[in-house]
Amino acid sequence: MIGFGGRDIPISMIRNLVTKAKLVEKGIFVESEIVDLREDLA
Amino acid sequence: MRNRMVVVEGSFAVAHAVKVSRPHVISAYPITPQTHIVEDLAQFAADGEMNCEYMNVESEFSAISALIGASAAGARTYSSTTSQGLALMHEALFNASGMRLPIIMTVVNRALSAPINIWNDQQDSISQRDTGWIQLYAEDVQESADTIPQLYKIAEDPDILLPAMTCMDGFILSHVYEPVILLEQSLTDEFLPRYSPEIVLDPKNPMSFGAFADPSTYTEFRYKQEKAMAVALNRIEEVANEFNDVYGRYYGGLIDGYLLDDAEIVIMAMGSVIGTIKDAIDELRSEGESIGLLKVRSFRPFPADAIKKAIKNAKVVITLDKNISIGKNEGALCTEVKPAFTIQIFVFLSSGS
Repeated sequence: MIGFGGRDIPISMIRNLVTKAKLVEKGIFVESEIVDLREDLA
Repeated sequence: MRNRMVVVEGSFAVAHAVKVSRPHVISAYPITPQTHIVEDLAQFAADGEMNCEYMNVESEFSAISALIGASAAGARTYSSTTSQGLALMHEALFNASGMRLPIIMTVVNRALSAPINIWNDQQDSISQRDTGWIQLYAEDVQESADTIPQLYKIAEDPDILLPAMTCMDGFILSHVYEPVILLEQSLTDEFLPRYSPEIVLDPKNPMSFGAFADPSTYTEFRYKQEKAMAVALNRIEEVANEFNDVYGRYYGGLIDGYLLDDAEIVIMAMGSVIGTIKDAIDELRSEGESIGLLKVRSFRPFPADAIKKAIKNAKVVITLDKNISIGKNEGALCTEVKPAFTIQIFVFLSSGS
C-alpha cells in the first residue's frame, strides 16, 4: 500500500496508518493500492 | 553551568556544536532553510569566537570543492546545505568520498523542485545515498547538535576516513526554538581529539589525490570504501556510547527502539517524525494495541542486520518515508527493509510546518 500525504504529520494520520496496516495484515489491501491520506490532515 | 538548558533556535544549536568541534575551514552558500546555520557560523568567525577560515563562495559546488582542497591539506572542515544546493554538489560528493576526506556537512532536509517547495521532505539527502557519504538522521534539535562531534570522531577515524552528513528536517528542526543543552567546549575537547591525518597535501612531500585509476584499480578504491563503511557500522555504535559516557546523552547508535520488544506492529521512520510517532504509540498502547517504533538513525551505512534482529517478532511493518523513488512506487527505507518481510506498507509523506 502506498499513501500520499502532505504538510506536517499529525498523530491522527499515524493512527490511520496503523488501522490500514491491520487491514493489510488481513489481506484486505493489496500492495500496489494508492491511498490518499490528505483527509487526515484537516 | 554544566547541563544548563537554554531555549535557542535549532540552527543556532547546530552552529554552536560546529564551533566547539573546532573546524579549521568552513565554506557554504546560503539557501533556505539552511541559511541560519551558516549565518551564525559567519558571525562566530567574524567575532573571533572561532579560529577558522570562513570562505565565502559563489555556489554550493564551489563550497564543497573548496572543502575538498582544504580537507586534503589536513584541515577539519564543515559545510551545510539543502535541496537544490545539495543536488548542485552531487558530482563533488563522489570526489570527497573517493579521496577519503572526512568532510562534515549538515543537510537541512528540504524538498526538491519542481514544483518549488522550500518545506521539508528527505528527497535531497536520500538522492545522495550512493555517493559514499555516511548519513545519520536526527530526531530533534539536541540530537542534530550532538551528532556533529560524533560524526567528526567517526569520519576521522583512520580506519574509516569517509565524509559524513547529518540530516535534520528543514524548518521543523532548523527553525524551531526548543530547550537544548549547548555543547561545552571542555567536554567536546575531551570527547573529540584533534584531527591529525597521516596523509595530506604538503609541498615538502608532494603527492596526488584522486589521480587517474584504470579499470583494474578503480574497483579496488570502491571496495575499500565499502570496507570502510562496514567499519563505520561498528564505530557509530561505539562513538554513540563514548558520547554518552562524556555527555550523558544517547540517541541509539545505528537504530533505536521505543516499546519495541513485544510489538506486533512496528513503525519505522527517520528524522523529526519520530517524536510524533512516539505520541501516537502511547495513545495506541493505552488502547491495547501491540505497537512499537524502530528509529533508523544511520541510513548509510545501512544497519540491515540490526534491523532484522530488532523486528523479528513483528507481524506488520510500516515504513514511513519522506521520499519516493518515482517509478518504483516505494521510498528508500521501504526498499531497504522489504527483502526481510512478506508484508510491507509504504507511505510517502512530504511534510512541513
